Amino acid sequence: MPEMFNSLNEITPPVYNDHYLYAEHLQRPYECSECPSNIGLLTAADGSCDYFVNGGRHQVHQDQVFFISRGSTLAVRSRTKDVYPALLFFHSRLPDVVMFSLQYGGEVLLEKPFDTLPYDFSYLERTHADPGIFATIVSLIDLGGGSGSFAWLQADMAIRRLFEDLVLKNQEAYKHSQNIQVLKASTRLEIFKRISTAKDWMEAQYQDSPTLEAIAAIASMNSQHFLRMFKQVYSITPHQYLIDCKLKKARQLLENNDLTISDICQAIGFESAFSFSVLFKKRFGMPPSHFRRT
Amino acid sequence: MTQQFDLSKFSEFKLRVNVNTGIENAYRAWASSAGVSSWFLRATYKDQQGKFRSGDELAQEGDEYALSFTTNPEMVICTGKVLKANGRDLFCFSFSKGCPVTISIYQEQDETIIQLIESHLPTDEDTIRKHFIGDTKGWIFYLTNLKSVLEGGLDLRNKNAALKSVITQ
Repeated sequence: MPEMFNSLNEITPPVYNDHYLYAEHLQRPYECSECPSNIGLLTAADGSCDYFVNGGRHQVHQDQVFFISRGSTLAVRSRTKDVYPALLFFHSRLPDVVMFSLQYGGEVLLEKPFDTLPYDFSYLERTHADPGIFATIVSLIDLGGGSGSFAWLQADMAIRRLFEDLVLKNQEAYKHSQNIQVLKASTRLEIFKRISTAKDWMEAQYQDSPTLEAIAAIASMNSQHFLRMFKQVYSITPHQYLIDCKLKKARQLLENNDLTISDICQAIGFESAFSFSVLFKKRFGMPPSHFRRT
Repeated sequence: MTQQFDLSKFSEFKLRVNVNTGIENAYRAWASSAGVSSWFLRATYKDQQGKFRSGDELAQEGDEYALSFTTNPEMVICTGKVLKANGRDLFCFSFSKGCPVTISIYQEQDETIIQLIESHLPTDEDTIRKHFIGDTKGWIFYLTNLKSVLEGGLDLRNKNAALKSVITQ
Protein backbone atom coordinates (compact mmCIF):
# COMPACT_ATOMS: atom_id res chain seq x y z
CA MET A 1 0.00 0.00 0.00
CA PRO A 2 1.28 3.52 -0.75
CA GLU A 3 2.65 5.78 1.92
CA MET A 4 -0.39 8.00 1.55
CA PHE A 5 -2.41 5.22 3.13
CA ASN A 6 -0.55 5.47 6.39
CA SER A 7 -3.17 6.69 8.82
CA LEU A 8 -0.40 8.20 10.89
CA ASN A 9 0.33 10.82 8.27
CA GLU A 10 -2.96 12.46 9.19
CA ILE A 11 -3.74 13.37 5.61
CA THR A 12 -7.48 13.07 5.11
CA PRO A 13 -8.09 12.63 2.30
CA PRO A 14 -4.61 11.81 1.10
CA VAL A 15 -3.14 13.51 -1.94
CA TYR A 16 -1.95 11.29 -4.78
CA ASN A 17 0.59 12.88 -7.09
CA ASP A 18 0.10 10.24 -9.76
CA HIS A 19 -2.20 7.37 -10.61
CA TYR A 20 -1.53 4.27 -8.53
CA LEU A 21 -2.45 0.75 -9.46
CA TYR A 22 -1.94 -2.10 -7.01
CA ALA A 23 -2.62 -5.62 -8.10
CA GLU A 24 -1.29 -8.83 -6.68
CA HIS A 25 -2.28 -12.45 -6.68
CA LEU A 26 -2.10 -13.05 -2.92
CA GLN A 27 -0.53 -16.31 -1.85
CA ARG A 28 -1.36 -15.85 1.82
CA PRO A 29 -3.89 -13.98 3.99
CA TYR A 30 -3.49 -10.22 3.84
CA GLU A 31 -4.69 -7.30 5.89
CA CYS A 32 -4.41 -3.57 5.40
CA SER A 33 -5.87 -1.67 8.31
CA GLU A 34 -8.38 1.11 7.82
CA CYS A 35 -6.99 4.33 6.37
CA PRO A 36 -8.27 7.37 4.49
CA SER A 37 -8.62 7.14 0.74
CA ASN A 38 -9.08 9.40 -2.21
CA ILE A 39 -11.01 8.62 -5.40
CA GLY A 40 -10.37 5.12 -6.70
CA LEU A 41 -11.72 1.86 -8.05
CA LEU A 42 -11.49 -1.44 -6.23
CA THR A 43 -11.92 -4.77 -7.92
CA ALA A 44 -10.82 -8.39 -7.99
CA ALA A 45 -8.78 -9.30 -11.06
CA ASP A 46 -9.80 -12.89 -10.40
CA GLY A 47 -12.42 -14.42 -8.08
CA SER A 48 -13.64 -11.98 -5.43
CA CYS A 49 -12.18 -9.72 -2.78
CA ASP A 50 -13.50 -8.10 0.42
CA TYR A 51 -13.11 -4.36 0.78
CA PHE A 52 -14.23 -2.50 3.88
CA VAL A 53 -15.34 1.02 3.02
CA ASN A 54 -16.40 3.30 5.87
CA GLY A 55 -16.71 0.18 8.00
CA GLY A 56 -19.08 -1.67 5.66
CA ARG A 57 -18.02 -4.91 3.97
CA HIS A 58 -18.26 -5.05 0.18
CA GLN A 59 -17.50 -8.28 -1.58
CA VAL A 60 -16.41 -7.33 -5.08
CA HIS A 61 -16.38 -10.02 -7.74
CA GLN A 62 -14.61 -10.22 -11.04
CA ASP A 63 -16.34 -7.94 -13.60
CA GLN A 64 -17.47 -5.63 -10.80
CA VAL A 65 -15.80 -2.50 -9.46
CA PHE A 66 -16.35 -0.61 -6.25
CA PHE A 67 -16.03 3.14 -6.64
CA ILE A 68 -14.52 4.69 -3.51
CA SER A 69 -15.00 8.39 -2.99
CA ARG A 70 -12.75 11.09 -1.57
CA GLY A 71 -12.45 11.00 2.19
CA SER A 72 -13.85 7.50 2.70
CA THR A 73 -11.91 4.99 4.76
CA LEU A 74 -10.67 1.78 3.28
CA ALA A 75 -9.45 -1.51 4.67
CA VAL A 76 -8.59 -4.68 2.79
CA ARG A 77 -8.87 -7.99 4.61
CA SER A 78 -8.36 -11.34 3.03
CA ARG A 79 -8.39 -14.42 5.21
CA THR A 80 -7.96 -16.83 2.35
CA LYS A 81 -5.23 -17.13 -0.23
CA ASP A 82 -5.65 -17.00 -4.01
CA VAL A 83 -7.31 -13.62 -3.81
CA TYR A 84 -6.39 -11.10 -6.49
CA PRO A 85 -7.20 -7.56 -5.33
CA ALA A 86 -6.69 -4.72 -7.78
CA LEU A 87 -6.91 -1.12 -6.60
CA LEU A 88 -6.65 1.89 -8.90
CA PHE A 89 -6.35 5.34 -7.37
CA PHE A 90 -6.51 8.45 -9.49
CA HIS A 91 -4.11 11.37 -9.46
CA SER A 92 -5.68 13.91 -7.09
CA ARG A 93 -5.61 16.60 -9.77
CA LEU A 94 -7.42 14.45 -12.31
CA PRO A 95 -10.92 15.67 -11.34
CA ASP A 96 -9.84 19.28 -11.98
CA VAL A 97 -8.23 18.40 -15.30
CA VAL A 98 -11.16 16.32 -16.52
CA MET A 99 -13.83 18.72 -15.28
CA PHE A 100 -12.04 21.60 -16.96
CA SER A 101 -11.67 19.81 -20.28
CA LEU A 102 -15.24 18.57 -20.23
CA GLN A 103 -16.59 22.01 -19.46
CA TYR A 104 -14.34 24.16 -21.56
CA GLY A 105 -13.00 21.70 -24.13
CA GLY A 106 -14.15 21.39 -27.71
CA GLU A 107 -17.20 19.41 -26.82
CA VAL A 108 -19.48 20.41 -23.99
CA LEU A 109 -20.41 17.09 -22.47
CA LEU A 110 -21.83 18.31 -19.21
CA GLU A 111 -25.19 19.96 -19.30
CA LYS A 112 -24.27 22.27 -16.50
CA PRO A 113 -21.09 22.98 -14.60
CA PHE A 114 -20.35 21.31 -11.32
CA ASP A 115 -20.16 24.69 -9.58
CA THR A 116 -22.67 23.65 -6.96
CA LEU A 117 -21.22 20.19 -6.55
CA PRO A 118 -17.46 20.47 -6.64
CA TYR A 119 -16.07 17.02 -7.13
CA ASP A 120 -18.57 15.23 -4.96
CA PHE A 121 -18.36 11.69 -6.22
CA SER A 122 -20.27 10.14 -3.35
CA TYR A 123 -23.23 9.32 -5.63
CA LEU A 124 -21.05 6.73 -7.34
CA GLU A 125 -19.72 5.15 -4.16
CA ARG A 126 -20.99 1.61 -4.46
CA THR A 127 -20.36 -1.60 -6.39
CA HIS A 128 -20.89 -1.28 -10.12
CA ALA A 129 -21.38 -4.27 -12.39
CA ASP A 130 -19.39 -2.81 -15.25
CA PRO A 131 -17.34 -5.23 -17.35
CA GLY A 132 -15.99 -2.29 -19.39
CA ILE A 133 -14.35 -0.59 -16.41
CA PHE A 134 -13.14 -3.96 -15.16
CA ALA A 135 -11.56 -4.74 -18.54
CA THR A 136 -9.76 -1.37 -18.51
CA ILE A 137 -8.27 -2.10 -15.07
CA VAL A 138 -7.12 -5.54 -16.23
CA SER A 139 -5.54 -3.98 -19.33
CA LEU A 140 -3.73 -1.52 -17.05
CA ILE A 141 -2.34 -4.43 -15.02
CA ASP A 142 -1.01 -5.91 -18.26
CA LEU A 143 0.48 -2.57 -19.27
CA GLY A 144 2.17 -2.06 -15.92
CA GLY A 145 3.90 -5.42 -16.09
CA GLY A 146 4.75 -5.17 -19.74
CA SER A 147 7.55 -3.67 -21.71
CA GLY A 148 5.71 -1.92 -24.51
CA SER A 149 7.13 1.33 -25.82
CA PHE A 150 5.33 4.34 -24.37
CA ALA A 151 3.20 2.01 -22.24
CA TRP A 152 2.54 4.90 -19.86
CA LEU A 153 1.03 6.88 -22.76
CA GLN A 154 -1.56 4.18 -23.25
CA ALA A 155 -2.10 3.85 -19.52
CA ASP A 156 -2.54 7.59 -18.96
CA MET A 157 -5.01 7.88 -21.81
CA ALA A 158 -6.98 4.80 -20.69
CA ILE A 159 -7.21 6.19 -17.14
CA ARG A 160 -8.23 9.60 -18.40
CA ARG A 161 -11.01 8.08 -20.53
CA LEU A 162 -12.15 5.92 -17.66
CA PHE A 163 -12.37 8.95 -15.42
CA GLU A 164 -14.26 11.01 -18.00
CA ASP A 165 -16.85 8.24 -18.15
CA LEU A 166 -17.07 8.23 -14.36
CA VAL A 167 -17.57 11.99 -14.26
CA LEU A 168 -20.46 11.71 -16.69
CA LYS A 169 -21.89 8.76 -14.79
CA ASN A 170 -21.64 10.76 -11.57
CA GLN A 171 -23.38 13.73 -13.09
CA GLU A 172 -26.19 11.51 -14.29
CA ALA A 173 -26.41 9.88 -10.85
CA TYR A 174 -26.54 13.28 -9.17
CA LYS A 175 -29.29 14.44 -11.53
CA HIS A 176 -31.40 11.35 -10.82
CA SER A 177 -30.79 11.54 -7.09
CA GLN A 178 -32.23 15.05 -7.01
CA ASN A 179 -35.62 13.58 -7.92
CA ILE A 180 -35.83 11.99 -4.48
CA GLN A 181 -38.09 14.13 -2.36
CA VAL A 182 -36.54 14.05 1.08
CA LEU A 183 -35.23 16.80 3.30
CA LYS A 184 -31.84 15.46 4.34
CA ALA A 185 -29.07 15.14 1.75
CA SER A 186 -27.65 12.12 3.56
CA THR A 187 -31.01 10.33 3.33
CA ARG A 188 -31.23 11.15 -0.37
CA LEU A 189 -27.75 9.75 -0.92
CA GLU A 190 -28.53 6.54 0.98
CA ILE A 191 -31.81 5.99 -0.88
CA PHE A 192 -30.15 6.67 -4.22
CA LYS A 193 -27.37 4.18 -3.53
CA ARG A 194 -29.85 1.47 -2.64
CA ILE A 195 -32.08 2.14 -5.65
CA SER A 196 -29.18 2.25 -8.09
CA THR A 197 -27.70 -0.95 -6.65
CA ALA A 198 -31.05 -2.65 -7.27
CA LYS A 199 -31.14 -1.17 -10.77
CA ASP A 200 -27.71 -2.66 -11.54
CA TRP A 201 -28.96 -5.99 -10.23
CA MET A 202 -32.01 -5.81 -12.49
CA GLU A 203 -29.74 -5.21 -15.48
CA ALA A 204 -27.93 -8.44 -14.67
CA GLN A 205 -31.05 -10.49 -13.84
CA TYR A 206 -33.70 -9.17 -16.24
CA GLN A 207 -33.98 -12.43 -18.22
CA ASP A 208 -35.23 -14.22 -15.08
CA SER A 209 -38.01 -11.64 -14.65
CA PRO A 210 -37.37 -11.06 -10.91
CA THR A 211 -40.35 -10.09 -8.76
CA LEU A 212 -40.73 -6.65 -7.21
CA GLU A 213 -40.17 -8.23 -3.78
CA ALA A 214 -36.87 -9.79 -4.91
CA ILE A 215 -35.63 -6.50 -6.38
CA ALA A 216 -36.73 -4.53 -3.32
CA ALA A 217 -34.80 -6.98 -1.14
CA ILE A 218 -31.59 -6.03 -2.98
CA ALA A 219 -32.27 -2.43 -1.99
CA SER A 220 -33.13 -3.57 1.57
CA MET A 221 -36.50 -1.87 1.25
CA ASN A 222 -40.16 -2.67 1.59
CA SER A 223 -41.52 -3.41 -1.91
CA GLN A 224 -44.03 -0.54 -1.97
CA HIS A 225 -41.48 1.94 -0.68
CA PHE A 226 -38.99 0.69 -3.27
CA LEU A 227 -41.55 1.01 -6.07
CA ARG A 228 -42.30 4.61 -5.05
CA MET A 229 -38.64 5.57 -4.74
CA PHE A 230 -37.59 3.87 -8.00
CA LYS A 231 -40.31 5.72 -9.88
CA GLN A 232 -39.30 8.96 -8.24
CA VAL A 233 -35.64 8.53 -9.24
CA TYR A 234 -35.98 7.19 -12.77
CA SER A 235 -39.53 8.28 -13.71
CA ILE A 236 -40.32 4.68 -14.69
CA THR A 237 -41.54 1.66 -12.70
CA PRO A 238 -39.19 -1.27 -12.00
CA HIS A 239 -41.42 -3.45 -14.21
CA GLN A 240 -41.16 -1.01 -17.12
CA TYR A 241 -37.41 -0.87 -16.57
CA LEU A 242 -37.13 -4.66 -16.73
CA ILE A 243 -39.08 -4.66 -20.00
CA ASP A 244 -36.78 -1.96 -21.32
CA CYS A 245 -33.68 -4.02 -20.43
CA LYS A 246 -35.17 -6.98 -22.30
CA LEU A 247 -36.06 -4.95 -25.38
CA LYS A 248 -32.60 -3.38 -25.53
CA LYS A 249 -31.02 -6.83 -25.30
CA ALA A 250 -33.40 -8.11 -27.98
CA ARG A 251 -32.34 -5.31 -30.32
CA GLN A 252 -28.70 -6.17 -29.68
CA LEU A 253 -29.39 -9.84 -30.48
CA LEU A 254 -31.24 -8.93 -33.66
CA GLU A 255 -28.38 -6.75 -34.82
CA ASN A 256 -25.64 -9.26 -34.08
CA ASN A 257 -27.15 -12.73 -34.48
CA ASP A 258 -29.36 -14.79 -36.75
CA LEU A 259 -31.62 -16.02 -33.92
CA THR A 260 -35.33 -16.43 -34.58
CA ILE A 261 -37.82 -14.20 -32.79
CA SER A 262 -38.89 -17.10 -30.59
CA ASP A 263 -35.22 -17.83 -29.69
CA ILE A 264 -34.78 -14.17 -28.79
CA CYS A 265 -37.95 -14.17 -26.71
CA GLN A 266 -36.64 -17.17 -24.83
CA ALA A 267 -33.21 -15.61 -24.34
CA ILE A 268 -34.60 -12.41 -22.85
CA GLY A 269 -37.38 -14.04 -20.83
CA PHE A 270 -40.42 -13.02 -22.91
CA GLU A 271 -43.26 -15.51 -22.97
CA SER A 272 -45.30 -14.13 -25.84
CA ALA A 273 -43.73 -13.36 -29.24
CA PHE A 274 -46.77 -11.26 -30.11
CA SER A 275 -46.54 -8.95 -27.09
CA PHE A 276 -42.78 -8.79 -27.64
CA SER A 277 -43.28 -7.50 -31.20
CA VAL A 278 -45.86 -4.94 -30.08
CA LEU A 279 -43.68 -3.62 -27.25
CA PHE A 280 -40.58 -3.65 -29.43
CA LYS A 281 -42.22 -1.51 -32.09
CA LYS A 282 -43.54 0.86 -29.45
CA ARG A 283 -40.07 1.20 -27.89
CA PHE A 284 -37.95 1.60 -31.05
CA GLY A 285 -40.53 2.84 -33.55
CA MET A 286 -39.77 -0.05 -35.93
CA PRO A 287 -40.67 -3.76 -35.94
CA PRO A 288 -37.96 -6.29 -34.87
CA SER A 289 -37.40 -7.28 -38.52
CA HIS A 290 -36.06 -3.80 -39.21
CA PHE A 291 -33.09 -4.43 -36.91
CA ARG A 292 -32.38 -7.90 -38.22
CA ARG A 293 -28.73 -8.32 -39.25
CA THR A 294 -28.45 -8.08 -43.01
CA MET B 1 29.34 6.49 0.63
CA THR B 2 26.09 7.85 -0.80
CA GLN B 3 26.26 9.04 -4.36
CA GLN B 4 24.40 12.33 -4.90
CA PHE B 5 22.61 12.55 -8.24
CA ASP B 6 22.28 15.84 -10.03
CA LEU B 7 18.53 15.63 -10.71
CA SER B 8 18.65 18.49 -13.21
CA LYS B 9 20.32 16.05 -15.61
CA PHE B 10 16.99 14.25 -15.84
CA SER B 11 15.13 17.28 -17.18
CA GLU B 12 16.04 16.43 -20.77
CA PHE B 13 17.54 13.75 -22.95
CA LYS B 14 19.02 13.70 -26.41
CA LEU B 15 19.01 10.85 -28.93
CA ARG B 16 20.64 10.88 -32.36
CA VAL B 17 20.32 8.50 -35.25
CA ASN B 18 22.10 8.52 -38.60
CA VAL B 19 19.79 7.78 -41.51
CA ASN B 20 20.69 7.19 -45.12
CA THR B 21 18.19 9.65 -46.57
CA GLY B 22 17.92 13.32 -47.49
CA ILE B 23 17.05 16.08 -45.01
CA GLU B 24 13.80 16.85 -46.82
CA ASN B 25 12.66 13.24 -46.66
CA ALA B 26 13.57 13.02 -42.98
CA TYR B 27 11.60 16.22 -42.28
CA ARG B 28 8.52 14.79 -44.01
CA ALA B 29 8.75 11.75 -41.78
CA TRP B 30 7.95 14.04 -38.84
CA ALA B 31 5.89 16.85 -40.31
CA SER B 32 3.35 14.97 -42.44
CA SER B 33 0.73 12.59 -41.14
CA ALA B 34 1.58 10.00 -43.81
CA GLY B 35 5.25 10.28 -42.87
CA VAL B 36 4.66 9.86 -39.13
CA SER B 37 2.18 7.03 -39.68
CA SER B 38 4.76 5.09 -41.72
CA TRP B 39 7.16 4.52 -38.81
CA PHE B 40 5.63 5.78 -35.53
CA LEU B 41 1.98 5.89 -34.57
CA ARG B 42 -1.01 6.61 -36.75
CA ALA B 43 -1.04 10.41 -36.88
CA THR B 44 -3.39 13.19 -37.88
CA TYR B 45 -2.59 16.90 -38.07
CA LYS B 46 -5.28 19.56 -37.80
CA ASP B 47 -4.71 23.21 -38.74
CA GLN B 48 -5.77 26.08 -36.50
CA GLN B 49 -9.17 26.19 -38.18
CA GLY B 50 -9.69 22.58 -37.14
CA LYS B 51 -9.31 21.17 -40.67
CA PHE B 52 -7.43 17.89 -41.09
CA ARG B 53 -4.32 18.15 -43.21
CA SER B 54 -3.97 15.66 -46.03
CA GLY B 55 -1.47 12.82 -45.68
CA ASP B 56 1.46 14.51 -47.44
CA GLU B 57 0.72 18.08 -46.39
CA LEU B 58 3.28 19.53 -44.00
CA ALA B 59 2.12 20.52 -40.55
CA GLN B 60 2.58 24.14 -39.48
CA GLU B 61 3.26 25.81 -36.16
CA GLY B 62 0.05 25.86 -34.08
CA ASP B 63 -1.35 22.68 -35.61
CA GLU B 64 -2.80 20.05 -33.32
CA TYR B 65 -1.96 16.40 -33.66
CA ALA B 66 -3.42 13.12 -32.45
CA LEU B 67 -1.69 9.75 -32.28
CA SER B 68 -3.21 6.30 -32.12
CA PHE B 69 -1.93 2.77 -32.52
CA THR B 70 -2.03 1.42 -36.05
CA THR B 71 -3.62 -1.73 -34.64
CA ASN B 72 -6.38 0.30 -32.92
CA PRO B 73 -6.91 3.58 -34.81
CA GLU B 74 -10.03 4.55 -32.84
CA MET B 75 -8.14 4.77 -29.59
CA VAL B 76 -6.27 8.07 -29.47
CA ILE B 77 -3.39 7.73 -27.05
CA CYS B 78 -1.75 11.11 -27.28
CA THR B 79 -2.65 14.60 -28.44
CA GLY B 80 -0.50 17.72 -28.60
CA LYS B 81 0.53 20.79 -30.52
CA VAL B 82 3.16 21.64 -33.11
CA LEU B 83 5.30 24.25 -31.40
CA LYS B 84 7.74 24.98 -34.24
CA ALA B 85 7.95 23.92 -37.87
CA ASN B 86 10.35 25.70 -40.20
CA GLY B 87 9.48 23.55 -43.21
CA ARG B 88 13.09 22.36 -43.63
CA ASP B 89 15.01 20.91 -40.71
CA LEU B 90 13.44 21.90 -37.39
CA PHE B 91 10.21 20.49 -35.98
CA CYS B 92 9.06 20.78 -32.39
CA PHE B 93 5.91 19.43 -30.72
CA SER B 94 4.50 19.01 -27.25
CA PHE B 95 4.54 15.44 -26.01
CA SER B 96 5.07 13.86 -22.63
CA LYS B 97 3.46 15.98 -19.88
CA GLY B 98 3.21 18.69 -22.53
CA CYS B 99 7.01 18.92 -22.64
CA PRO B 100 8.58 19.85 -25.97
CA VAL B 101 10.24 17.33 -28.25
CA THR B 102 12.56 19.08 -30.71
CA ILE B 103 13.66 17.38 -33.90
CA SER B 104 16.68 18.81 -35.68
CA ILE B 105 17.91 17.35 -38.94
CA TYR B 106 21.40 18.10 -40.18
CA GLN B 107 24.40 16.67 -41.97
CA GLU B 108 27.39 15.24 -40.16
CA GLN B 109 30.20 13.20 -41.68
CA ASP B 110 28.25 13.10 -44.95
CA GLU B 111 25.27 11.48 -43.25
CA THR B 112 21.85 12.79 -42.27
CA ILE B 113 21.44 12.98 -38.54
CA ILE B 114 18.02 13.11 -36.89
CA GLN B 115 18.39 14.48 -33.42
CA LEU B 116 15.60 14.30 -30.84
CA ILE B 117 15.67 16.33 -27.65
CA GLU B 118 12.89 15.95 -25.10
CA SER B 119 13.25 18.79 -22.62
CA HIS B 120 11.70 20.62 -19.67
CA LEU B 121 10.80 17.37 -17.94
CA PRO B 122 10.03 17.77 -14.23
CA THR B 123 12.68 16.09 -12.11
CA ASP B 124 10.62 14.53 -9.36
CA GLU B 125 11.10 10.81 -8.86
CA ASP B 126 7.82 9.80 -10.52
CA THR B 127 8.42 11.87 -13.63
CA ILE B 128 11.96 10.56 -13.96
CA ARG B 129 10.72 6.99 -13.71
CA LYS B 130 7.73 7.33 -15.96
CA HIS B 131 8.68 9.98 -18.49
CA PHE B 132 12.47 10.24 -18.60
CA ILE B 133 13.09 6.50 -18.58
CA GLY B 134 9.85 5.48 -20.32
CA ASP B 135 10.18 8.02 -23.10
CA THR B 136 13.85 7.25 -23.72
CA LYS B 137 12.97 3.58 -24.10
CA GLY B 138 10.07 4.35 -26.41
CA TRP B 139 11.97 6.76 -28.63
CA ILE B 140 14.93 4.39 -29.01
CA PHE B 141 12.70 1.77 -30.61
CA TYR B 142 10.80 4.20 -32.77
CA LEU B 143 13.94 6.04 -33.97
CA THR B 144 15.40 2.66 -34.91
CA ASN B 145 12.22 1.94 -36.85
CA LEU B 146 12.40 5.36 -38.49
CA LYS B 147 15.89 4.52 -39.73
CA SER B 148 14.75 1.13 -40.97
CA VAL B 149 11.72 2.49 -42.82
CA LEU B 150 13.51 5.48 -44.35
CA GLU B 151 16.33 3.27 -45.57
CA GLY B 152 13.85 0.99 -47.34
CA GLY B 153 14.00 -1.79 -44.80
CA LEU B 154 11.41 -3.53 -42.70
CA ASP B 155 8.71 -1.81 -40.68
CA LEU B 156 9.50 -3.32 -37.28
CA ARG B 157 6.25 -2.36 -35.55
CA ASN B 158 3.96 -5.00 -34.12
CA LYS B 159 1.02 -5.59 -36.45
CA ASN B 160 -0.70 -8.18 -34.30
CA ALA B 161 -3.41 -6.41 -32.28
CA ALA B 162 -3.78 -9.39 -29.95
CA LEU B 163 -0.13 -9.29 -28.95
CA LYS B 164 0.61 -6.97 -26.02
CA SER B 165 3.59 -5.70 -24.08
CA VAL B 166 6.27 -5.87 -26.73
CA ILE B 167 8.77 -3.09 -27.38
CA THR B 168 7.57 -2.90 -30.97
CA GLN B 169 4.35 -1.27 -29.85
